[in-house]
Amino acid sequence: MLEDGHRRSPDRVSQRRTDHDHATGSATELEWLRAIARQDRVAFEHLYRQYHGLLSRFLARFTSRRDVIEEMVNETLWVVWRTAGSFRGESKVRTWIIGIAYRCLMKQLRDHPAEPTYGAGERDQEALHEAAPDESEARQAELRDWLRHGMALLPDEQRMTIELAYYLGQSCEEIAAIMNCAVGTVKARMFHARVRLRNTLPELGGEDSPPTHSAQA
Amino acid sequence: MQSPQHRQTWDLIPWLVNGTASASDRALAEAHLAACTDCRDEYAFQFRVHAGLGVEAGVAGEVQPAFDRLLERIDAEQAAETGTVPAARQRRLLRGLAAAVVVQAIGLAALATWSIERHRVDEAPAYRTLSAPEATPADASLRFVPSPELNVGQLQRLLGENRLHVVGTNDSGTIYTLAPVVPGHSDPDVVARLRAAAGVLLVEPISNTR
Repeated sequence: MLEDGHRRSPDRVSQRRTDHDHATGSATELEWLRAIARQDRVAFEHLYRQYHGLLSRFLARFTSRRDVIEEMVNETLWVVWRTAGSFRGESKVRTWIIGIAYRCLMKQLRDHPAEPTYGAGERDQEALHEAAPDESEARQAELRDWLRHGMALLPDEQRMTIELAYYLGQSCEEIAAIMNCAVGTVKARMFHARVRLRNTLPELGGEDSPPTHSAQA
Repeated sequence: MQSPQHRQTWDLIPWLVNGTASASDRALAEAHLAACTDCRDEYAFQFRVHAGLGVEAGVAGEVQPAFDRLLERIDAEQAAETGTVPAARQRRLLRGLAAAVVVQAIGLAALATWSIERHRVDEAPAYRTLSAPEATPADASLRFVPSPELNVGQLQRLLGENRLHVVGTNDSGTIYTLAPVVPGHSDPDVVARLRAAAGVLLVEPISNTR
């Protein structure tokens, strides 16, 4: 059996997702969205505050320019304001909004292919190193470095699939909705991304197993 | 040859790692993972990738200024759609209009002052006395006022006898300016003769004849 920590991964992002997807929270977001469709600015501000941090952190995975990040966050939530009335409940509100952010991001990557850089900016990376005083944390910092370089080598669609799954904790079906493609396409992108990462990050595979092992015999 | 369970489990690993696999998928994968070293290694690898990507970059900026900027954009677009001016822009516009009104008022006041001063200098009186200089033809010599009873024929005969002709009149046609038919010819008795004629109210020489 997989341990509980693996059923819902223990890192902060997945924990956020667990909290966020609580039924009450989803219902509240749906109410906000309906109010926004009636041009309710109070509801819009609630939704904005709810998603500003999440979208900023997600988009920061693809560019270190904070002005571009804010521009994309506001572009995403501007689309939400304009099109809230068209939401038909075919997905979660969160999935719908992330889908809008995804399209804004892809447009940005298409229009300015040279600008975005993968992950946190250099200063953030340096700060992470400096904040790793012991061996364990130093290894974590090294892991993040390896990942940053490995992810940078992936095509945009594959990189996006990994980020949506591992950073935002989206399911395969949700990613298909976000990327507006078939579930099979998501699986294929994830498969190829994993193979590439395997080839570019061999060090990760040769080290110790994670703290809680994957399966029991 | 790989079993179907191996490929299925391999594909399910990311969703096991991020906790979104369904219960049935999880059960299928767990059964295979227990017996497959390759899949366990891949699971461990993906677990590390997942953990490494979970690090916060800490880049989120301040919410309120960003939200205010978005509201400004929405206001501007709604104003453009409805033809109204957004509140912030309206305040700026009002301040600009007030300044324009003040500048305009100052300009009008200056223009009015200048115009009044110019009028005082240039404007001729709206009336004229008989003794006031007037624009008269160069050879005009007499100002002549006939009585209303003097008809045209009598006037023509009177002027003909004194070799005079009319060279000007006032607006109402009651005062005539007369000049000799022969330019430069002056008759010193013509004034006395005209004054003595019937139907003549006034005859006076024009001083400073030009």
